Amino acid sequence: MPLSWKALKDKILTVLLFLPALVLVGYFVYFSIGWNIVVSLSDWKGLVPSYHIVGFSQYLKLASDPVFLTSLKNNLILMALFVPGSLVLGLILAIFLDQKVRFEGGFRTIYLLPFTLSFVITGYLWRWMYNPTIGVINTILDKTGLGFLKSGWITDPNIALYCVVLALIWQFAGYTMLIFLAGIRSIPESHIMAAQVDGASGLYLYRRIIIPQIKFSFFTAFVILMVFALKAFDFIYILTSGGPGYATEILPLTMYKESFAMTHFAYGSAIASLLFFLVMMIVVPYLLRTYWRSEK
Amino acid sequence: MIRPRLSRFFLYLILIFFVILFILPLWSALVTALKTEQDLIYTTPIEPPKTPTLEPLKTTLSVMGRPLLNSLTFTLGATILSCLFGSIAGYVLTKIRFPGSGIVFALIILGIFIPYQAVLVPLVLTMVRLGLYNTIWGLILTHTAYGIPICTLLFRSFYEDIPDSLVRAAQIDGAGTWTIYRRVILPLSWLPFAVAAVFQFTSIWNDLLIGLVLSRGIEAMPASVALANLKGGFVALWNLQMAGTLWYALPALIVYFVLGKYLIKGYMAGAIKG
Amino acid sequence: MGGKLKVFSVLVSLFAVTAMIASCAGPTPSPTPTVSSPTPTVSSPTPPPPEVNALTVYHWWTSGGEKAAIDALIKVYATKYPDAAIMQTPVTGGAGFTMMGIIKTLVLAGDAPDAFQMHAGYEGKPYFDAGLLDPIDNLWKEEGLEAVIPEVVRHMCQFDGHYYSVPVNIHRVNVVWYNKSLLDKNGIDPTTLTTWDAFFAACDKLKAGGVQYPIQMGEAWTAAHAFEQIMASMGIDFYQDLINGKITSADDPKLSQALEIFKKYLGYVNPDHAALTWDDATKRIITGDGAFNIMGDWANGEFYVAKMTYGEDYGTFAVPGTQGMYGLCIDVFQHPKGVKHPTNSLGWLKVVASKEGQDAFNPIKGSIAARTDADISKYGPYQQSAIADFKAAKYMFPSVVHGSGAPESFKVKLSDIISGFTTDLDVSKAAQALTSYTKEISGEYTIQWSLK
Repeated sequence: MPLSWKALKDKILTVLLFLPALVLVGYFVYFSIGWNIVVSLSDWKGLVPSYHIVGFSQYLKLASDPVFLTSLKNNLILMALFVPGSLVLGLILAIFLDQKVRFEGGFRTIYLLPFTLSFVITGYLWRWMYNPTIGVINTILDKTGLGFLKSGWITDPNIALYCVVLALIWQFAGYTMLIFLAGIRSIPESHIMAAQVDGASGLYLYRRIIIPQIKFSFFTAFVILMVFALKAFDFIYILTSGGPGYATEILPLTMYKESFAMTHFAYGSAIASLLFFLVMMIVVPYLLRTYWRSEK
Repeated sequence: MIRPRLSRFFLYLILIFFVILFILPLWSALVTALKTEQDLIYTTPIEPPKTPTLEPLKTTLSVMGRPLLNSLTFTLGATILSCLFGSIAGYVLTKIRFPGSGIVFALIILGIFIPYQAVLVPLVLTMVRLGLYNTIWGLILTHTAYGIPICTLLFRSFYEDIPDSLVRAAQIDGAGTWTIYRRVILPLSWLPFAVAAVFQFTSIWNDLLIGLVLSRGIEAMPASVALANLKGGFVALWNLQMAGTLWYALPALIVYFVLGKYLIKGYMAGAIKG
Repeated sequence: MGGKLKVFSVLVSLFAVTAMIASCAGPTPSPTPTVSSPTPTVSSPTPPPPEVNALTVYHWWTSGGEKAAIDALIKVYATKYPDAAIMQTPVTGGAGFTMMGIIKTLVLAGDAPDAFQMHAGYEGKPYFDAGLLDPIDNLWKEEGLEAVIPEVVRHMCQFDGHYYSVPVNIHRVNVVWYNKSLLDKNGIDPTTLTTWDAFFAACDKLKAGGVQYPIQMGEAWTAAHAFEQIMASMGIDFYQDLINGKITSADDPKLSQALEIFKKYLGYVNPDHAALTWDDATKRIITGDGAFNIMGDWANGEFYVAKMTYGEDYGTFAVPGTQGMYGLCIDVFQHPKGVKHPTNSLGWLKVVASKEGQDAFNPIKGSIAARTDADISKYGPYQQSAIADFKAAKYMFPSVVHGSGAPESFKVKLSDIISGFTTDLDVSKAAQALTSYTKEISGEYTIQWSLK
């Protein structure tokens, strides 16, 4: 078909519309990544910038650095627990709220409240909640006769990380709930009623009919939770500063300490680059699977 | 709507348990914000104040007034822009097949996961060179750029489900790309817009690091930075910090309330899923 | 389309409105500097007029008494240089953790402020190494500072034998704060607590008297702070070797001894320390939940707010084993190279170092002046005793935990290692970690201190 003027104009318009997004992302994201990679390979020392590439020595150092390895392990555990945990809690809350509950709007708003508070504040609040001596959790456990469940929480290096995960789930479950609720509500009535005519009810209805229909919500929530898992830097810094010892140390924290507190920019950039690749390795396969299937 | 029923009593019990769990810290923030410094020392964080005072709220409002305005401005601006660009990008990547669109998509969404600590130095370098350091537009530009990847993802996933037949029907009627976008795609996009808007608003509103590094002085200072500044280097006045938190959470709460309603509003007419 | 369009247009108009208000509410250009009152308000900066008669200062004194102190100092500057427009940028975050990140980023971007707060000693090293600081030997000479500032303090303001910064204040770090009524009740005389044995015996007495956790401590860095004082109590020779990077053997007897003492110390400490901020711990001395707390003398402000009287309700003594030693935590300002307003920057330094400036700042801050000719009458009771100790001090030592004595990397690592130690109490592991890291960063120990 000959390229008419109208078709050409159309193509140009498309490009113009798409361009800003491409340019912005290309620069702000990839320039930064590139910068990090170059610096991690350079001989940058202290505050004297240098982009002269000398090799992979920083990465070799990382491989044998116990702090980095602990940090990496903690990061993976955090993601592995926080994401499913929030998804499950959010889903449960969404299903509960879908039950034609009175004051649904009120419940919804309250569950969303933690999400509206900044990490700085919830960090302090949870620090106090988890206090083994005067904190809310241990006090309530005592008063309800469950004193044997008391623990050191974030002062105990064995469970500190899990305490952090719990607090994070608390903060994000409300948002996940919102996404799921919207997804559930957007399933056409006809589908539900058809299934009910066929005799489906209660949990079966949810399991077989409704949940599979909200794939979009699942996917959205998953990605968003992953992002927040990575951005939990502020929260963890306030809650535990990576302690006790390195029990709750995560990669963004290690990276910040190395680059900005110890002025080891090359090392910090290596950590940042690795962090980015780590995330890529987790998310890309998931994306490929989802989109390869839909391409068919 | 007919929904499967679960035991009502059990249901309400669990819901209320969660309410207590979720609201406890906020209650603590509220009572702490109303305490005098004496109260801070001698009462626990849950107890209401012995001599309640509005001083902390008043003081912090005067400190945070301008930063709150700043935050509102650049958060709304960046949210709108990133949603818009993300929506267009999602549309182009799904409805307009061009060779390599898959790769472009992948490259865009990898940007979702970039950790902010890693970009601080190149970011400041860029902003200083552009003359946008310590300006609201600098913050808008930055947050828009870093928000586009996730918005693109959200919109693309959603647009995938819009049947191509709709687009083709419009094309047969002679509509161009932009017209199709305006008349067909956009009206159907309220769900992803709401999701993306809430996410972006939160992300940007709560961001601390970028705001810290790109602002100096109060002209462009975000509320998150002003809030963090209420905590001193060696001194921590809890009543002020909690009062500041309440002010800080207020606009966000209002936005969620409004947008949340649209998220939950209900049903798709079936044109999509039917 | 209706609903969505409505929301969208609401958002856009909201944005437009706030943008308009934000640009209208901008600062009006006037050359007078704004100074805020002692209540925490953020000072609104006036944009510098076309000539460079302005000054930007970064610090982390963002609230309460600290803020009042820096405001007082700025006021002194304003009276001496009434035409300059001053822009303060307070950046919060424990002891500058966040601010350091910001400053380094700005410095790399070529946009460093005219002056930024730093701790004396190693904290300024990266900037010196990068050639970003200008020497100010002339200023020291003109202001006659060498005569009124003690030797160790002077050394902390130097790199390679030249002066690069001026001290604002002196905080003491090796202080034990105690609750007087608890000690009286249990028949403990604080003046006898000059050795660790005596100190621990007193703790036993307190425990017997019903005080479950006689020593109160806070989170990781406060543990490192306490441990640092214990190391100082091992003798000035040991401490000097430590900060000069000479303690590299994991079997070092004094290092192990210090760790053992700390282990015993921890036996009397509240188990929830990791969840407390430093002031939470100090507050427990105020309320009588604990008796002892090792903390720098910024803690005095807590007692002041609680309306306690020095000598009656609470008191202090030097950390056991550190009598006659004054542990230094010093804030300084420096002269960055290529600053935008060099005359004002130097003027600021002069004010900071002056008797007038220091006597305006320190009484409010709770520290003491870095000058030996301070006007004692302006200071409160604790500070007066601190000034007396300062003048009579046999040895002074720069704190590691507060950025001065050892390289930054060591400071960060020390905090992490000690935080781990408080849970596993593994002396050999900690000794191993500390000494091997010292060896690893041996190249960073470019300042060699001589404290005797």
